[in-house]
Amino acid sequence: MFRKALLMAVSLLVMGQASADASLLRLATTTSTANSGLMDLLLPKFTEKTSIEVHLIAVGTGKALRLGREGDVDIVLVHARAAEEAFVEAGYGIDRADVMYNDFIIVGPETDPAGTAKSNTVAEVLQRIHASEKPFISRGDDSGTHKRELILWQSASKSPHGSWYREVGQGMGKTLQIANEIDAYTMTDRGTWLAYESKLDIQLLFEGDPPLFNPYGIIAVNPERHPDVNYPGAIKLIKWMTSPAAQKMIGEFKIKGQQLFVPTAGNAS
Amino acid sequence: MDVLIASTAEAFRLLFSGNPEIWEIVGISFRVSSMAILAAVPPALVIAFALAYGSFPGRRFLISLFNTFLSVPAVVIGLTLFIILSRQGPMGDFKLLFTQTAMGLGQFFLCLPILVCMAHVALQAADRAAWETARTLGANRLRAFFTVLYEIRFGLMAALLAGYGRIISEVGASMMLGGNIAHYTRNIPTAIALETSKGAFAEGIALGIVLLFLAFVLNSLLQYVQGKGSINP
Amino acid sequence: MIENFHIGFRDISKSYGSILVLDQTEINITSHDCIVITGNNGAGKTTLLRIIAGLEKPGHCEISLDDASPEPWRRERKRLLKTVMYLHQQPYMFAGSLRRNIEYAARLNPALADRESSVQKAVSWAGLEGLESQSAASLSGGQKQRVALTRARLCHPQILLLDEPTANLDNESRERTLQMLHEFRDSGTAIVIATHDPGVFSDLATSKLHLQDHRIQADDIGAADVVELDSVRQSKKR
Repeated sequence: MFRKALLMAVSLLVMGQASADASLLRLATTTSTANSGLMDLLLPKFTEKTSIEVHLIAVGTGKALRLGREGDVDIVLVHARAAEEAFVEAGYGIDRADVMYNDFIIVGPETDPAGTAKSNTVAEVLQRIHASEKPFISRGDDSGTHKRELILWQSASKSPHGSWYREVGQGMGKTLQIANEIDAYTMTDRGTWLAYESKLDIQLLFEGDPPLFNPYGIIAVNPERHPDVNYPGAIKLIKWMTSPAAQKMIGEFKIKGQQLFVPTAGNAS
Repeated sequence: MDVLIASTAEAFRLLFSGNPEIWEIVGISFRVSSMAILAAVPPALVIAFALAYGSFPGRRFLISLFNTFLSVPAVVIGLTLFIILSRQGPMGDFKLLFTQTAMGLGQFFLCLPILVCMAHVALQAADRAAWETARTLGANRLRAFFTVLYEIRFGLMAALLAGYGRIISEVGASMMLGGNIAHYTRNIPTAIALETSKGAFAEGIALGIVLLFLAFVLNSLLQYVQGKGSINP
Repeated sequence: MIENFHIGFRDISKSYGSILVLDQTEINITSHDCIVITGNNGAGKTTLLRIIAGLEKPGHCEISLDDASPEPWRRERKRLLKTVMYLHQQPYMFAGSLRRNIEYAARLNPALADRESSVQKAVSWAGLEGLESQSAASLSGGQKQRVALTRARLCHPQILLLDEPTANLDNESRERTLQMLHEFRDSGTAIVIATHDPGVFSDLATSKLHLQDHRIQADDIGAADVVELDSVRQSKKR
């Protein structure tokens, strides 16, 4: 009786396992991408057309690339151009394609004590914050957004140190809430900002400078390194994401009436 | 405060309007956690039994080991299993990462120490004469084992409820091993984490209410069971 | 009826850590025997009974059944558990009703033809009618003792071991217990009783042993040697 119960329990547990076949594709992407809701719109259409079910795994940029490198997923969609290129260079991924971009923005207290709103470039914004030593919240979690923020500081020729610069090691939503509580500046992706905006007192202060643009690339995991990945499925998804139909949906995707992503397929490498 | 009230009101509306997505998440949570605990109960009982009645070298060490496992953070178990189940890990060929099975495995290892330790305590509290009486009446080991389990059923129920309480609300290991895949490995805790990070507080609160309600039911059952155990010494 | 048997436990040794309890002692048990064992607290009476019951592992012990060559205890353990019945000083009552306790024993004896009526008969044998649905845990000490004896009865043990069976019993319960033990013995079951109060069992006893200095010694009633005891035994057999 005991043995039977054990057998049953084990077989029941294993039944829940997905069969790793050609009709299943595992896509690792960043949390902010998944949270935007865009994929909830795009992926069902893809499944409808190809009968390939996509399991979307939302993690940080670094983790997403790592999952691809280890062969735990079939395809990745991330926004970290330099890391993506290194990923392809090292032979972990192939068939990289540009899909779209969104942008980062600088938000902060309505009173704008550092006077950032008068800036023409994002470098100038950061220089003003640095000079005024008004509080700035950094993600501090080595995420794509965090990496981008550090690059921007670098190109502004400032190194952010001091009690005014606070690394919180949290996700974007939490970071925005913290910035709101202590009247601080921070840099955020537009998607998270739109989701949180209505619950926050801090305001959008600066946007639109090209260094703030955030291009997304889609990369298939190299089947030569991991022969059991669903490479044909990955190719289909890349083709579809860069197709005019999907690109049109990306351009028309709106949160609270605002466009979030700009389709770019065919424009770049 | 306004946010809290508005979100809570919206949460109740979501729950009682039969929002299919929310109830699907609830269903996945219950299914995976129930499977995990069902799978964990038989080995836990055998281990607890060996620890309580057996005499073999390393018994004391094992007891301390399981007690230590009680306080191992879920993410540590999650990370360990992640490395083992990853395609490059020793069990990579089974392709279990980001499946319900992986999530269930994580929960299995989370509730196993609770079940073992609580069953062990219940067995220790039980009269050894129960086992001996069954044996001397001619019951074989298996029969006597089930007899003793019946004698301590209230303690075992308490162990079951405590174990279930831990895994149904656990987020770290589930997130890491299941990947929070919509309609597949998105359970209540990972969905709450996701909805909160999206700023969708109402959905988070709605799921939180389900968990809260569940915790209440589990605790009430636990109180009832423990009360029952004391009436019937 | 129990078929005649003779079983010898030889070279019994047992120690708990560095504390020696039994030292190369022996005991012979034959059907229809009623052996009363006395000894000081801690002399090892309970340990001896539990070794005979197959419940406690001895340091050393060999067992010979009838005229077969001796076998180590370990290999005989299963048979001991099947054929020897040990009654704790405070009988353990399983959760649930008196009836469940007795049915539990009945289910373990595959030889019982009609379980239902056997249980009914056993209950009335023990004078426990009307208490069947009562929770076993709520019974009095004497009633629990009778439940334990009823369970034993349904198992038809070759050997019945009792650990201080009359301690904490009132007179009436003691009489009933003795009455029941008589019936066990008459059916061929050998009885071994560890007690501080051997007088209670003087009508029942066929031999008296005393446990002292880690060994079993023949006790008073003529301080007989083994040969004489055996002859007493023969005469009591019918």
